Amino acid sequence: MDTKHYDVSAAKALAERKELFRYADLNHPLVALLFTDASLDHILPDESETAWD
Amino acid sequence: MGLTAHSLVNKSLKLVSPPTTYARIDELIHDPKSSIDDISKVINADPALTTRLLKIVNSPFYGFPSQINTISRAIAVIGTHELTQLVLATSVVKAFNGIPHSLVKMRTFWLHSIACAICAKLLAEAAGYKHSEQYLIAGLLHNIGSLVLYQSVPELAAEAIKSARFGHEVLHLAEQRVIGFDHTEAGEALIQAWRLPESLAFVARHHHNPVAVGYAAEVCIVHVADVMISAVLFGHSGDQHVPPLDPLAWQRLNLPAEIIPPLLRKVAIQLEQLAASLL
Repeated sequence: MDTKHYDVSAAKALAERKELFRYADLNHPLVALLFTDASLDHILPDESETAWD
Repeated sequence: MGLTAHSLVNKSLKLVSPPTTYARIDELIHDPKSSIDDISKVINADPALTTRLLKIVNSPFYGFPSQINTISRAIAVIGTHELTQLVLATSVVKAFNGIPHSLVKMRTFWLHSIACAICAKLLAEAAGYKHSEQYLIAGLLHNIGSLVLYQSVPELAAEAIKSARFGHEVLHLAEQRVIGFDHTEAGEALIQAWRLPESLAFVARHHHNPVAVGYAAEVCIVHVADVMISAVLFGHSGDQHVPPLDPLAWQRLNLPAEIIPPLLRKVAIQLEQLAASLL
């Protein structure tokens, strides 16, 4: 398994997530839940912006 | 004289289609002499609107067991009030044309708004508020002022978006600095110019600042819905960040955080259903 590739992808995803939440207070329980809850990832079958256009 | 939200909306009104059918139906609803037939006739006079409404009431979003073929039947099943809200929803999503793609794609914008609408309705239901359908339309229109800015002052709107994206200020504050007012003021002015219910203008105006209106329930609901939907990236309205949450607005709803993941999954399902009919 290519763990290095996985690490880079995960780091990129985390950086994007942090940017999305730049103005949000991650210490608030609701915001923290929205930031971290993995079950909320990809809850639309195909949610990418281009897919909707 | 400087640019104001009202002067901008007056300029924008020449370019957008007002929800005239909604206004006519609203008049009929308040006329004690009118009947369901009168309302049906007004809707049936617009074949495109009739088709879209029947598509929505027959969609999985409502999930009725049998086909609804006429507007009068739709009114009988979902009620005059809810059908009127759908008339308004279908009218406003088609009202704006000519928004530069570089600012926002219309489908992306309306996906965010429809998701907020559904989320607001579900939050209201979960919090035990009556007439939850009114939160649907309040959620749908909360960012409509952004479209006024994108259409009428695209360069300034782009500068504000850039500032929020690469600087250190949230979008509505960047808009205030760059344009002189923000999308909430433009939204309030447009909703008032269209003579829609004042409650919708109130939510549009204060959804980023619930403290200013004493944490009014409808404002808190849309404020929280906007944060939630921005966090799960169901479209976006031009603002590519999660807006700051006012903790007291969340507290006002008195809901446990655990309900949020299942509620958002429900939003995802209903969003696909409603977007397929509305967009």
